[in-house]
Amino acid sequence: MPTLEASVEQDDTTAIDAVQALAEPSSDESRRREFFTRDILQAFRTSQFLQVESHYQELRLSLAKHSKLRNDWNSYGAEKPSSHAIEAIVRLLSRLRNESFLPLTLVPSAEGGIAAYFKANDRVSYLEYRNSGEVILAMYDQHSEPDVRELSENDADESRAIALIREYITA
Amino acid sequence: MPSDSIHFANAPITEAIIAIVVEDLPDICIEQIRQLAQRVLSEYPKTRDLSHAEFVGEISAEGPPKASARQKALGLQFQSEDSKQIFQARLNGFSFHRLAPYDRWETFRAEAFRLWDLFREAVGEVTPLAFSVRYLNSLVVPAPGRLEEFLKLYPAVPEEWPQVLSNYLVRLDIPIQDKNGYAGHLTTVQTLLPSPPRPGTPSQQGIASILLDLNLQYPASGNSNETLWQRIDAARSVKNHLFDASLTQAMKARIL
Repeated sequence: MPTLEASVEQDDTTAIDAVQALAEPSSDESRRREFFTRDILQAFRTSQFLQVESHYQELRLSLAKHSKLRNDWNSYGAEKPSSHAIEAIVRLLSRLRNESFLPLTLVPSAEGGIAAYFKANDRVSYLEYRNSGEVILAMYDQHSEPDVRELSENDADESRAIALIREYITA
Repeated sequence: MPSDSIHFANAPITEAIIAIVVEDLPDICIEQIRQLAQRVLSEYPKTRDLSHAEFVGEISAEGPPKASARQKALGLQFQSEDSKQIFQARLNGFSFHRLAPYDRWETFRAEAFRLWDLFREAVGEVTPLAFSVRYLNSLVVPAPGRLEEFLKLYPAVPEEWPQVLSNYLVRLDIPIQDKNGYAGHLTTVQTLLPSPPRPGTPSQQGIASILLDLNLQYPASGNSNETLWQRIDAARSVKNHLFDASLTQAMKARIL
């Protein structure tokens, strides 16, 4: 009778190891995960739960790619996202996954770091974790001045940022 | 214990869906669906447009290839503040979704019924064609662990093969009948959900989450509204029976 193998992600695996394992193109594990992720994506569009799960996996795959960037990745001298910035985004994603409120995409920052972008109609918001440790929240649309705030990297500020983004994006 | 009265304290339901397919409504009904937003604003303050994209390519011997695309409004999705409760009002149907935590059938069904009535009031006469009752479950099991200790439905692997699975995907389409003899169709999917497990699961090490998706679909042409909802109730009984039969005692003990 078949036995399930041990769960892939162990406690001693860092977030960086985990996202890099996802990105490794020669990794069979990565391909297997991608196959099942894509299957879920294509086959189960009618389930909100599975849409969130598959989008979460897509974001993790894109994060894995961003984690492999080199310095000067944009040819304008941008630093690659630091392991600290990536770990912060992993934590954010995990939290947002549970709230069924995931960003549209993840984008490496020209300032050095990584940002989670949210978009609805003409409203855009992003939460950027910089290599320097700064956390920037920005909300903007075509009709008003951008609202940009500097936050701290702690649970309270992160909760506040999520609430603000949610309110702005879904207004 | 009769299947209808099963209630697991730690029910593994991640999403429950009641969906009703209706005969296509005229495009003008989109405006009536939009007006529904005001009526449900307090419980479902978030809305999202649903659209349908069509891409047409044409190749002929006489001229260059032509391509066109158009997007057609299909309806609206309404979400509760916490995004745990969702319903869709579309030109081709209605669906109500409850994400975890799931309470019980009675409250879930009552809200679906209320919203369905609002949908009918908004768009006028509708003709149901089919309905489905779907439950997605996330079963948390030890890994490594033997599937047959927890599930009665699992892939049989020849003894001569390696006995360790990295992942698997089982999809079965099975004809079914409810207690009144109405014929329908069960589509069930079982697969491992991708790692890492969701926060809140007992432990992130040494466990795996298995998706058990039970989707019961029935034709409903010619059914009155009363009959339709009686049949939805009957489908729930079938679902309970199937779910109960797919778990071992060890799995039931984990979710009791």
